[in-house]
Amino acid sequence: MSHQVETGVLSRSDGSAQLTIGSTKVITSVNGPTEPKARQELPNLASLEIVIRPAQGLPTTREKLLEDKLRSLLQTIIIRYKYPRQLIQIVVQFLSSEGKSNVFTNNELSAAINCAFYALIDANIALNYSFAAVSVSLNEGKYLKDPAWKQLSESDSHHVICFSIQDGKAEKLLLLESQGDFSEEEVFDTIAKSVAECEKVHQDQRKFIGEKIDRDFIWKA
Amino acid sequence: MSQRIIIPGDSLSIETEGIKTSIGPGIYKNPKSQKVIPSSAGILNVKVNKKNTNQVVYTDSNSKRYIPQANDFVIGIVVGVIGEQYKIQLQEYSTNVLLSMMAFPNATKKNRPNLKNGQAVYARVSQAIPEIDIEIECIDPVTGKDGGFGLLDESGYIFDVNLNFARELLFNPSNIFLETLASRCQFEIAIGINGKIWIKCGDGLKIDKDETKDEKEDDDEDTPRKVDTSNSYLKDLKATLAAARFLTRCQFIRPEELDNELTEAFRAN
Amino acid sequence: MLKQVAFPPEVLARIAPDISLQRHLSIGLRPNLRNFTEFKPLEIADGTAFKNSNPNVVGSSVIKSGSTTVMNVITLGIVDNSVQVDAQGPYSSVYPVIEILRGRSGEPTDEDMILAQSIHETILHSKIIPSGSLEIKNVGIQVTEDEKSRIIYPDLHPEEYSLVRNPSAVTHAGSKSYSFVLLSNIKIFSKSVSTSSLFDLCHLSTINALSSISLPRVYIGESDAHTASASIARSRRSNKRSLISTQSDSNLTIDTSTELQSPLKLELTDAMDVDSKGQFDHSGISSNFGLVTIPGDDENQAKTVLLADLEGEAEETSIFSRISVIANKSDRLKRISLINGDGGISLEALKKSIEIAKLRAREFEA
Repeated sequence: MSHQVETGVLSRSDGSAQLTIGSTKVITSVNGPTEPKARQELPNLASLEIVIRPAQGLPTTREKLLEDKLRSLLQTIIIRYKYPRQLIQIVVQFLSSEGKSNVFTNNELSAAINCAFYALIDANIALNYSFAAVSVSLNEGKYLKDPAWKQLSESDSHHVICFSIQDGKAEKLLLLESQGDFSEEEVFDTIAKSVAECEKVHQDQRKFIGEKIDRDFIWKA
Repeated sequence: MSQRIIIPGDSLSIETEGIKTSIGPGIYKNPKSQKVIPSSAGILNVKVNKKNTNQVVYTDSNSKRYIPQANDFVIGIVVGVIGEQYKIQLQEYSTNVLLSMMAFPNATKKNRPNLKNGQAVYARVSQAIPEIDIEIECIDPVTGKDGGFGLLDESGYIFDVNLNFARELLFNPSNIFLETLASRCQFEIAIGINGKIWIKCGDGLKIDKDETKDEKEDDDEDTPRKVDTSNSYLKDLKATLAAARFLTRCQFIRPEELDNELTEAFRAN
Repeated sequence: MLKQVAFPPEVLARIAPDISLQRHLSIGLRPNLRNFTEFKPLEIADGTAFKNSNPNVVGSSVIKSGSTTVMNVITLGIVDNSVQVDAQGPYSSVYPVIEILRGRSGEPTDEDMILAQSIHETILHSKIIPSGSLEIKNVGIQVTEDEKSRIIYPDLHPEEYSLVRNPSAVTHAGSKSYSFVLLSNIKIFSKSVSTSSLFDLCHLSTINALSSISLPRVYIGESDAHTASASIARSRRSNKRSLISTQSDSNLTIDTSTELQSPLKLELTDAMDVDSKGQFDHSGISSNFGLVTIPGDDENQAKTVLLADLEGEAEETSIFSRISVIANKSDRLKRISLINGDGGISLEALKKSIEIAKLRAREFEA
């Protein structure tokens, strides 16, 4: 399943992106560096405010957990020391997510991570490296990328994997969220297979960013 | 020279041994590992001097949020007073910067400038240390004269552009946009690197000398309430708005479409 | 000239926890004086006191790790299967409310909520509570004979039941199906360990409490057995809880007699291993690790160390690379949560963490 992405969709925020992967659709805005509230201010680095809103209903503890995962990932990717005493606010709004059930958050987490990347690039926030994520399910050892809800519910285990990208190659494993029933070999096998998948996601990223920069400098002779 | 697009995580692949390197926007040096990395996605620029002893590295990219740097020329709005300093807003939701009342030409304790909330100033960032409050001044530090800084006339029109375009207008003396515009009308312009542009054609938005105070709040509306029927005022107002429209559009079109766009923007006049 | 200032260790630990931690580690010590891969010892106390003293409590557990005490109490709710919002999968989970007591009151903190949600998702995806085991079968009927009321269950008293079971009276209640939901209330006292370790303790305590659960029987109150819409109501009257009032005066009631209770059927033991009895054999044990890079004199000397079971302010605030693994006795993994903050985690480190987690699971004796 390929990604559909568009940046600068929100004219009033500093950076924004909309991403569609399969039936998961998400829009992310990044604002910053802006003035923080007094209690958020950190003396030597930027504070992050991450808000995740579901496609239906009000945010619950489910979104809180997603926010926590996204925050722990982004807090070391963003060069926060560049923006002391400032606030960077990231709002992730899901527009549609598959399944009536709240049980799985896999596809949502991976979509939120990938969408946040585009929005951060659009807002020109300083990053240590690029990153790309994939959502995977294993069913009797069968590797499936971007599983649909039905495939997730039949799977033995499901994983979200995020790699840092350096010079177009997946470099470091930044995030791994695995749940279900699986063996050590399966995990390492999944990680190894996801290297290529993350690099594929990154090729889209690079292509898209190139087009975006061309658009930004269209007036240049 | 072909453009090289670089994104975070890429290698800069520049030689830093034996050559003095200055890094500019979009490049970050990690204080711990001393590694120099690109921190934003943009067009990489590496400029080496002839003797091969100095080089400058930076990336050019677009953004909307302005981060103050020393010596930048900015347009700010007065939003308040603390003691002997004005609070100036450079962008919505950004941390306000300070403008000392003494940072005006010939200002003394007794002879202070008198700025009101909502007025706009053209100023230079005199100090930009992110850990403490940022200061701007309306004075040329070399001559002690105004140097073009100071209060911006209320008959001008202020609008926002992307930061990369503001830089192009201000830093590239051979850019064609202002020249193209000048072929159509006379104007005064102040370009803030924070993405704000103040422009005024002829007498600008001043409609009636006695009514300026009322009109200035509505200066972005096309339907003036108390229009002086004299043609020249109306013409200047229309020209100012058309010029602003033209410059805003310039960000999204190819250079060869400029002439068309100019005609389009001024069509109503 | 700036003068060099020296701080006593305890002051340094407060103002620069990261430097304090690195100084400790560079001489081979952790601030909490444990070895790098040593886990904090924990005690699983007999938690059945809650259960025995309060009939509303169906399962409980008390765990201590140092000064940190985790008390977990599981109570029951009843839901009508036809109105359940979540699409019901083959496995269920607990609904935990976690409170870390800090001497304040008010809404739950983000940490409380995140922990609770992680426990909920982990138990669900570990597939240990089959939804079927929470289904309420054989709903009894209360009848009064000679001024004495007794409850007749279809499986225990089939003959009497068929007599009582006046079709017009019972059909509604009988045709509707209900399930228990497990409400877990976890209180954490004097937290001294890191959030990662708290997850481990909460997970352990939840499994421990789950395995002690015995489910009571449920009957329809006598006053009438005609039923209609279901709504949840809770009477405060002593032992008799009316979880669902099916109509103004007809209730689904929990039978408090302990002899009739049956243990909750969990898939805790290893299906392959008949002798397996341990409650953690299948569900697994959660272990957490952190990775810190100790800078050397030059870059080559910098090394990354693996710390187990994070504890204390220095480790909590300055370790950004963390791994949490749930492994069980038969080398299966249930959950891995890895976040590579400063890039210290290599695949070897992950491998080593999994190895230690498996070893710990194998040697774990409740």
